Amino acid sequence: MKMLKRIATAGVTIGLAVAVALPASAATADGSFTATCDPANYGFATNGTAYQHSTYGTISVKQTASSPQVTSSVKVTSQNGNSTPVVNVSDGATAKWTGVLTGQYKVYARSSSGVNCNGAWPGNGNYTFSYTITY
Amino acid sequence: MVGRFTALAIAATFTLAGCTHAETSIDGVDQAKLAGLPSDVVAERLADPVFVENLSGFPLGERTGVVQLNVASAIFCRDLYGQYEQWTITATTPHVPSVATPDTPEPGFNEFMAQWSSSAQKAIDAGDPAELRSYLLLTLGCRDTIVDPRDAEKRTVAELLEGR
Repeated sequence: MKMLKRIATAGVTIGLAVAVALPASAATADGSFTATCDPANYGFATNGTAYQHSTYGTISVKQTASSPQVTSSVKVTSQNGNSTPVVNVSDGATAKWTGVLTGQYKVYARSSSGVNCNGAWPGNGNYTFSYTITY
Repeated sequence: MVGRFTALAIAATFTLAGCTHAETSIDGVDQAKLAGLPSDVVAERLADPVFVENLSGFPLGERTGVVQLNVASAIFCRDLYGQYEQWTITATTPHVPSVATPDTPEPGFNEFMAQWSSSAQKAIDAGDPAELRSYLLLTLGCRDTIVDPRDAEKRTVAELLEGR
């Protein structure tokens, strides 16, 4: 039940996709979403928030917190389905990609390995991935 | 959760029709809206496991548009890479590739490709092949495009430009 509730919450969050306003230069934003602790069976998750990267340069995503605490695999994906290489980050660590083309991008994450985030409940469950993006 | 079983579902819904013609079916992708795009490139992109995994992270309603853009941008990058090579060999100044456009573009298609065309034009207008090379190597741009799908090694723009 707990896992189903988390999945439902994630669905609502994902449905509320928001396009962020154009920044004149590098900007930062915070976000969070529910992601899987079972990467063998579930895909990357996103909150659907799109960030407008307006100048060539670096995009970085810092994992500010995770609950329960896990190491995440993180990537950024374009509207055409192109993605950055996946980078694994723990709490306080930053994934960074240089020389990024201008465009509108979303953050994706999932646990880097199978972890029990669900206690005694069946399945590995989910975790909350919190991040700060610089774009 | 986004992607719940979707990668598996997508993998499971690949279908082969006949012995000589492969047709790919993916949840959320309206095949009719891919009309107007080269069918061989469509089939090739929908068989790319990295792209298919990324596609599974998009809501069903957005996937057709993502495929349209991925096909168009792959064609764009291959054309531009070829012109860059010609520029360095024959000094023939490149031009911005024409955009392969589906008969029914999804919302955002024209804006996305216009942005790519504009940025490529700026790289060409700089008048220096090094500028276009840098453009081709940008992350989330042409960098990871497979230049020739018939190439057994599936080398990307970055691998060829950086001699890897």
